[in-house]
Amino acid sequence: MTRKYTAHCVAILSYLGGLFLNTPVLAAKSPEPVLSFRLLTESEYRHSIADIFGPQIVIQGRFEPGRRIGGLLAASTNVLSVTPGGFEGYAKTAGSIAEQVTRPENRAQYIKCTPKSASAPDDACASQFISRYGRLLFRRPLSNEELKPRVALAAKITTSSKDFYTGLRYALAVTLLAAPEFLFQNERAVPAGRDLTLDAYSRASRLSYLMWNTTPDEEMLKAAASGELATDAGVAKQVDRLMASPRLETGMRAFFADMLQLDTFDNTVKDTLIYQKYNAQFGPSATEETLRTAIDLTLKSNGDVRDLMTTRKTTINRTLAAIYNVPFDFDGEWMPYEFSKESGRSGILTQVSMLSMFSHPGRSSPTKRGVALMDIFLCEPTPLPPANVDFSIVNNTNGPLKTVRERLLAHATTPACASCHTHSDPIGLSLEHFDSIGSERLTENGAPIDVSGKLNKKSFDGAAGLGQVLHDDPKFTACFARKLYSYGVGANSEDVDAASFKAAYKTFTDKGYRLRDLLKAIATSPEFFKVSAPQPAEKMAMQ
Amino acid sequence: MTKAMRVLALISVVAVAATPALAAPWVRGFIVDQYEPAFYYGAKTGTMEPGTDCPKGTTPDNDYNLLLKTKWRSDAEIAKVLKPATLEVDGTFNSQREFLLSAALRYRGFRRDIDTWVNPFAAQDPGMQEVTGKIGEGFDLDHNPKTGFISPAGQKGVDNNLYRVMGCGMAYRGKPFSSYLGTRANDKMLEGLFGIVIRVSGTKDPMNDDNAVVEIGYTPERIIKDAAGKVVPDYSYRIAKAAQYTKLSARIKNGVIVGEADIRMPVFSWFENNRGEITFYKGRLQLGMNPDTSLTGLVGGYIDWRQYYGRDTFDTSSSAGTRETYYHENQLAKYYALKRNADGLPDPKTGQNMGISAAFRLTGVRAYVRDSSKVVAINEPLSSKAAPTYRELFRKASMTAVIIPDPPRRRGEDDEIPAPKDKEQQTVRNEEGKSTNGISSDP
Amino acid sequence: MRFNRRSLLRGLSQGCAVSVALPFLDCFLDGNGTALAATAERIPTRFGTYFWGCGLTKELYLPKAVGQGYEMTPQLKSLSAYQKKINLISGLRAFADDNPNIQHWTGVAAISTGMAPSKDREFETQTIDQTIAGTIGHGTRFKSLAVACSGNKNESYSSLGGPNTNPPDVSPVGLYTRLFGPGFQDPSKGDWKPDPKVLLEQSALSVVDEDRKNLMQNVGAGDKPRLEQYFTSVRELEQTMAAELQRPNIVAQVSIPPAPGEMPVNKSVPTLRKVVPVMAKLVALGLATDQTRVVNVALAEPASTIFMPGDSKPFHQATHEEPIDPTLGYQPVTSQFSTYSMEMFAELVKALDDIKEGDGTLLDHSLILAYTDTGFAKLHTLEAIPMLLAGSASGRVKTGFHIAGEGGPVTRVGLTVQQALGLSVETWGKASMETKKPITEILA
Repeated sequence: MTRKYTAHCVAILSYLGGLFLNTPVLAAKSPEPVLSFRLLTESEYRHSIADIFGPQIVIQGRFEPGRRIGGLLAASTNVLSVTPGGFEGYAKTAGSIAEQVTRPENRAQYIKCTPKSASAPDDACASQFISRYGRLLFRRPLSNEELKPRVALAAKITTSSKDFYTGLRYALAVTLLAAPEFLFQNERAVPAGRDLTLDAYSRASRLSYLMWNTTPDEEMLKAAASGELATDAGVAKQVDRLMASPRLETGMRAFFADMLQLDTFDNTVKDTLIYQKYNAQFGPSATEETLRTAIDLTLKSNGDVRDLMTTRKTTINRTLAAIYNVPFDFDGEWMPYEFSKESGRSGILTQVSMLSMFSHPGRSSPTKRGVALMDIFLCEPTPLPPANVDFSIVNNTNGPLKTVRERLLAHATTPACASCHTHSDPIGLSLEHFDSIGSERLTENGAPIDVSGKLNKKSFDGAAGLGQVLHDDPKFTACFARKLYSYGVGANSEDVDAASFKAAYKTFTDKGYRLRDLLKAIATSPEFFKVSAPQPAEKMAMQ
Repeated sequence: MTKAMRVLALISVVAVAATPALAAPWVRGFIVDQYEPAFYYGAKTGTMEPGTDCPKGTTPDNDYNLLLKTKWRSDAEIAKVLKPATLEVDGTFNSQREFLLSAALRYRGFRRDIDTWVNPFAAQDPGMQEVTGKIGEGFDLDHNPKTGFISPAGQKGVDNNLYRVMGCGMAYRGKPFSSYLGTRANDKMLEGLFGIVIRVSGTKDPMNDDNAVVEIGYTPERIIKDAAGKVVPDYSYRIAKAAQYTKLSARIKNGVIVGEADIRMPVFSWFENNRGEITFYKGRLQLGMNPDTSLTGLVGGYIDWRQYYGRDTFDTSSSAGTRETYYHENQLAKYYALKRNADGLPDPKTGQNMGISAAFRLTGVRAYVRDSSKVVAINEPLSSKAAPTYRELFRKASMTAVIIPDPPRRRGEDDEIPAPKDKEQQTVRNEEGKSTNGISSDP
Repeated sequence: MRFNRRSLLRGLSQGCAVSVALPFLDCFLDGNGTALAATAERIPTRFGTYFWGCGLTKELYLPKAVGQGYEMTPQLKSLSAYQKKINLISGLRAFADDNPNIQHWTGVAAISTGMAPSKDREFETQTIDQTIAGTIGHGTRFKSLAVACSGNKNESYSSLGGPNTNPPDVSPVGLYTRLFGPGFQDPSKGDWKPDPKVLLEQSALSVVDEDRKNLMQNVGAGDKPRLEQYFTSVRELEQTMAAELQRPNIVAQVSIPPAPGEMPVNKSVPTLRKVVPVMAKLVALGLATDQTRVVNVALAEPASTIFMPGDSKPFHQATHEEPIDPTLGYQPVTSQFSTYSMEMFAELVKALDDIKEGDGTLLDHSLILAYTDTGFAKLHTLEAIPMLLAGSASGRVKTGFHIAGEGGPVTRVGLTVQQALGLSVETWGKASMETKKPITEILA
C-alpha cells in the first residue's frame, strides 16, 4: 500500500495558495478583524466536539499543554502559540474526527442530503454540509467568501478520489476542524462609545465557554444572529438561561479546577516507600473530592463562598477514606462525610488535594503550601527565591532542629528571606498536622507539632484557625471575584484592573457571597465584554 | 477531647506499652493478608530438607512407571504414555505429554475401566509418606492431651491430622508463609481472588473482655497493596453474611482472642475454580492483636475429609492430574491416608469418622470492616460443570464402596478427558489442550 | 482614537502571540486519514517485539542501581556489549481488575494491548505492533511479520484482536522464502519510475512557497516566528515528496545471502541456539531491505516449554516443581532457562546492531520491546514484570537506563513506545492500566 499523495493533495495546496494570495495572516475574509485569539483548552475542545458531533466520537490525540498565568490556565489561552508538535496533534485529531463522521454507518446522522452521485461532486450537498458544520465549529455562520473555496476544495478532492464523502471528509478535517477559527475563539469587537465591545458571536462564545465550558448552543447562536446578544437585556436573558441549566456545573467545575490548580496532580508524585497509601487513584480521587465540595457548597447549596475555608463537609471515596483514616460506607462510589471538630480539618485547605499538591514527594512543605494558598486564595503570588539560597538547614531532617517549624525559622531569619517567608510560612506551618499526602500526623520526630500562626497581626491555631482568618479576610473574596472575572475574559489576574469587577464584587458581598450572584453580575457587566484597542506598533516593514 | 489532649494521648501511647483500660464499646477490624495450612516445618531452611517432621525430607517426584503399573496395563502401554512416539519431543515432559499422562493416571484400579480418582478404593493403598514428628500446630479439639501433637509452645494434645497426611508434600512443606501453595495462594488472595475480614467487638476493653464478639467472613472488596506489595492499613472492606460467615462469642485476655464454634469461612484457595467455603466443625480460633495493630492467629477444627479430597482431585474435572504430576502427590494414597487419619465427627450410623482435624494460620492488617445495607454478593468459583459432578460421584462411591462407572463423555466439552480406549478422542483432546471456560487448567 | 484595519493588524502582531494554525496538509494522512507517514528522513524507524515466557529471576537480573551505568547482572550478561543501546524496565505490573487472573496470559495481553484479557489466549483489542504498523508500516511489502523460533505455528502474539493471531514463520527456510523468495523486488535492479501525481503535488507546493516571501514582508515582528513554524511544516512535506520521487535507497549495508538449509526447529535449547541466530539475521535483513518495518519474534509460548535434552523437566514445569534453593534464594534450573531466554534476545539485538545503516546501525533506527508474561513464574504473579527496550528509535529514545517502575502499570512502556514512534497518543490502556505517564526519562 503506497502513500496516497494523490491529486487531492494538489487541490488542498492550491486552496491554501489561494488563501494566501487573498488574505494576509488571517485564514478567511471575516466581517471584522479578529482582536484576540484564545486557544481552546483541551476540555473546551472535547466538550465542543461532543456537543457538535455527539459524545460517541472518539477524540484521541495530544493537546498543547496550558500555562498558568496569574494563577489561571485560562489566561494563557490568549498568549499561547501552537507549536509544530501541538499542531501535528490537532491535525491528526481533526483527521480522525472527520473520518469517523463520514464513515458509511454514520452518514445518515451527519449528512442530511444525498449527493446526486456518490462518486462525483455535488456542490449543493457539500455546501449544506460545510455551512452547517462550519457555523457550529466556527461559532458563527460562514461568509460566502469562506464557503466557496471550501466547497471547491471538496469538489476537487471528490473528483480525484471519485468519492463524494472523501471530499467532505477532507473539507471537514482540513478547512474546518484544523482551522484557526475553530481551534481558537476568534474574538471580534465593535465600537461602543469610545470603547470597543465584543460582537454578538464573540459574546455567545465567551458566555458559553464560561458557563458551560462548551461551544454556544443553537439558542445562543440564534440570539447572536438576531442581535439580541448585542443588548443588555439579551445578554441577561441568555445568562439566566445558561445559569438555570444543570450544565452550569460543568462550567464551574472547569473554573474551580483552574483556580485551585488541580492540574498540579499531573506532576505530583509521592514516595511510595514513605506513603503506603499513595497510589494511582490518589490524584483523581483528591481532584474529584475538591470539585464536589466546591460545587456542592457554591452551586448546589447556593452557600457562602467563604465557607470553602471552613466547612467540614465533604464527599469521599474508598481511597480517600483510607487516607483520612475514616470508615467508608459502600452505598455508592462516593459518600458524604463530615469531619469532626476534633479532626482539625477546615475546608478545602485541609483536603488531600491542597495538602498534597503543594508538598514534596517525601515530606510536607509549609513554604510550598503557604505560597500556593496565598497565590490561589489571596491573589498574592510570591516571587522566586534568590539564586544563592542555601537550603541545607531546612532540608536536614536528621539534625538537632526536630520540627520543620524550627528549621524554617532558622532558615528564614535573614532579611532577604524573611520578606517572603514571614508571609507564607505561618500559613503553611499551621497546616503541619497533615503530612504530604494529607493524612493526620500530630508529632514529628517524637515532638508534638506546633500549629500556631499569625497572619496580618491576627493569631490563630491550626488549620481551623487559619480557615477562619481567611474566611473573614476580604482579600479572599476579592481575590475570588478577581479570579472568576479573569477566567471568564482570559486575562492575567495580576493585570486586571479592580474596577473591571468592582460592581460585581459589591453585589457579591452585599448578597452573602453566593457564587451565582457573582457570576451573573460579572457576566452581565459591560466590563465582561469590553476589549481594549491594540497598541500601535513601533515599527513596521510595510505600511 | 480537644486536639491538644489528643496529641498528649498519642504521645503517651507511643511512650507506654498499653493504655489504661476504659470501659466503653470498642471495635477492631482486620483484613487477612496471609492465610495457609498450619503445617509445622521441622528443618531449618528451604522447603525440601529432612527434618523432625519428615525425616526423609519432602516427598520426591513420583515414579510414573510405578504409579501406572497395574495388572492390566502392559509395559508397552506404559512406555507409550511416558514416551509417546507421535510427539516429536526428545522424550521430555511438555504440556501435550501432560495430558496423555493425566488421562492414564486416572485409571489405576484392578480393572481397566475404573476411574480410580472417583473410586480410589478400587486400587490398593500405595502408602503415604506421613508426618512422623511430634510437634504440630493447632488446637486440642477432642480435649484430650493424649491424642495429637505438642505445639511449638509446649501445649499437649494438638489435633491436626490433616498435617499428618499432607505435611511432607511439596505443595505445603516449608516455614510459615514459604511453602509453594502457601505463597501462591497468598499472591492470588492479595490479587483479588477472595478476601477474609475479621471484626472483633466488645463492651469493655480490647485487651481484656469476657464478652467479645468475633465475626469472620468473606469480603468482595479488592485488597489494596502498596508499591512494595504489602497490604495497606485503614481501608474499608464489607463483610458478606450470606455464606462463608460466622459470628461467635469470644473471650479476650491480654489481647488474645479465643473462641469456639462451628466456623464457616472462605476456604484456602489459589485458583478461580477452587474458591468457596470451608466449615471447621467444632471450630476454634485463637487470634492475637499485636501492639503494632496487626493480627496473628490460628483457626481450626474438623473438616469434612471427603470434601477435602474432592476439592483436591476435582477442582477442575482433572486437577488430580496436576497434583499427581506437578505437586508430586498420589491421590489414591491421599484417599487412604485421609480415611485412616480421620479423627472426628463419627457418622452415627457407621461409626466412621467423617472429619479430620486441621488448623490454618493467618495474619491480618488493621482495617475498617463494614456492614452493608444491601446483600453483599460473593464471587462464586468459576468452575466447569463437570467438576462438582465428579466430586459428588466420588462422595457417593466412597460412602458406599460401590464402584461408580464413568459417566458418558461428551467430546469437546471442557475438561473432559476421554477414556483410554477411545484413541481418536485422545488425539483430538491432546491437540486442543484448551479449556473453553476461559480458565486455563495449567497448574 | 481612530482605528482601522491596519492598526488592528499591527496590534495583532504586537499584542497577541499567536500562530495561526492554517489548515493542515492532508498529504500527511494516509488513505484512512488516521496516520502520519514517515517524515523526510530517508531511514525509516522500525519496531519489533521479542516475547519469552516465564519471566526472569529477580535475584539474578535486577540491578541495584537505577539510571544509567547500572551494574550488569548475571542473567543479563549476554547483553553487556549492548548495555548502552538498551533500556531495562523493572517493577511495572499488570492489573487484572475484574477479569480473572489468567495464568500465563493476563501479563502477555496486558503488555501488548493495554487491556486485561477476559478469555485465555484471546486479546481484547489489537496488539501494539499492529497499532504501530498502522502508522509506520505503509509502503512496505509486509505490514508486519511474525516469527516463531521454536517452530510452533500457534506461537504468535501479534493480533488484530480476539483469538486470531498473525500467522508466524516457523523455520529459517520459510522466513527466507517469504522475504527473499518470489515477490522480492531488488530495488538495485529493474525499472523504477516516480509517481506522476507526486510531481504535480510538488509543483503545487512551490506555489505556496512563492506566497511565503510576499507574506512574510507584511507580517509584524511578533508574528513572524509563528508563521515560520507553519512554513517549516510545508517544507518538510516538500522534502518527503522529494524523497518519494527518488528511487528507494537501501541505506543499510547488506547483501542478500543464499537461502539457509533445512534444519530442525524445536524447543530444545541447543536447537534454539542454532535456529535463533539464523532467524534473527533474516529478521534484520528483512528490516534493512524495508520488506517490513514491524517484526514480532516469539521464543516460545508463555508457559514456556523450552528444555535441555536429558532433563525431564522443561522450563515451565521447573518453575512450579523446582524448590527455591535455601542458600541461593532462587530456583537454579529455572533461572538457567531465563538466562537462555535472554541469550536468545541478545542474538536478535546483535543481528540488528551488526548491520550498518547510515550514520549508525539498524538497531539505532529501531525500537524492540522484549517482554514476558509474569514477574515470578512459580506463582504466576502479575507484579514486577521485567521488560527491555533495545535501540533508540532513530534518536527518539535515550538508552542505557535501568528504570524502576515502582508498581506502576506495564502500559507505561506501551505508551512510551508509541510516542517514540510518532503516534499521536496521550493515554493508553484501560481501567487500572490506563496511563498518561510515558517513561519520560527515556523519551528524547
